[in-house]
Amino acid sequence: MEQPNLSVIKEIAGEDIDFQNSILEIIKKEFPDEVKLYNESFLSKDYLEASNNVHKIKHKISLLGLTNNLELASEFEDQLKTGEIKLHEKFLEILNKIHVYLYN
Amino acid sequence: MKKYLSILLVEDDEIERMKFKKVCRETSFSNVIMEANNGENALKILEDEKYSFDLIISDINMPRMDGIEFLVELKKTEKYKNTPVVIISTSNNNKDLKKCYELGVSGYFTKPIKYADYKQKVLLLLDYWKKSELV
Repeated sequence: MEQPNLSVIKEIAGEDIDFQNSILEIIKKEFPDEVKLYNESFLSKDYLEASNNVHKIKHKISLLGLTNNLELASEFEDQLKTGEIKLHEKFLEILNKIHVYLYN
Repeated sequence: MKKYLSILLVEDDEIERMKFKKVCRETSFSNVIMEANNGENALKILEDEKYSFDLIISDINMPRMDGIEFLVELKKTEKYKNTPVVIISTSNNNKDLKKCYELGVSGYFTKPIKYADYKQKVLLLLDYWKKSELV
């Protein structure tokens, strides 16, 4: 199974470790709030807003090198616009995986 | 040819702003960049007489006022209605693309996932507008 990693962040930052750390800090700072917003939107069945929330989270998924998960998130983002929610559980698994990586 | 470009970057994502500024720092010429995290704040900056911009770079998906709404308002301003606007977005939605061109954007590109591709596109963009007679 795909795991979060620093490959994309390192590609952006190059040799600049401070830049790399700044990106990681922003991800760590923003991720919980973005997940909270997603959960709120999903639970209140505001799927259009949930789709917007997924759009924001997608960027973090991409930055953490989760290429396959990014595809799933993109698909879920589109599906939510039509009220389709079957990828919700899989999306939560991705969020959980990122949470474990960032904060444990 | 201009010695530098004065750019307004309208982007809600802090990491994306950092990425754009990093590429700008890697060009062979200086650029002056001001940042706004949504269309509403961008309009406030544009209203300030002490600033003048050669180029506006904008995202589409932003809170409060998105890129499309921002473009609509921008085109109503006398000072900036003809300023080139380039959209850099993750949206590959044809409706967004069509709407942006209807509103007179000068360019639209989707953000490549790979940084090297992103950097190449931004460098080409900056080089083009630096040489342009329009700015």
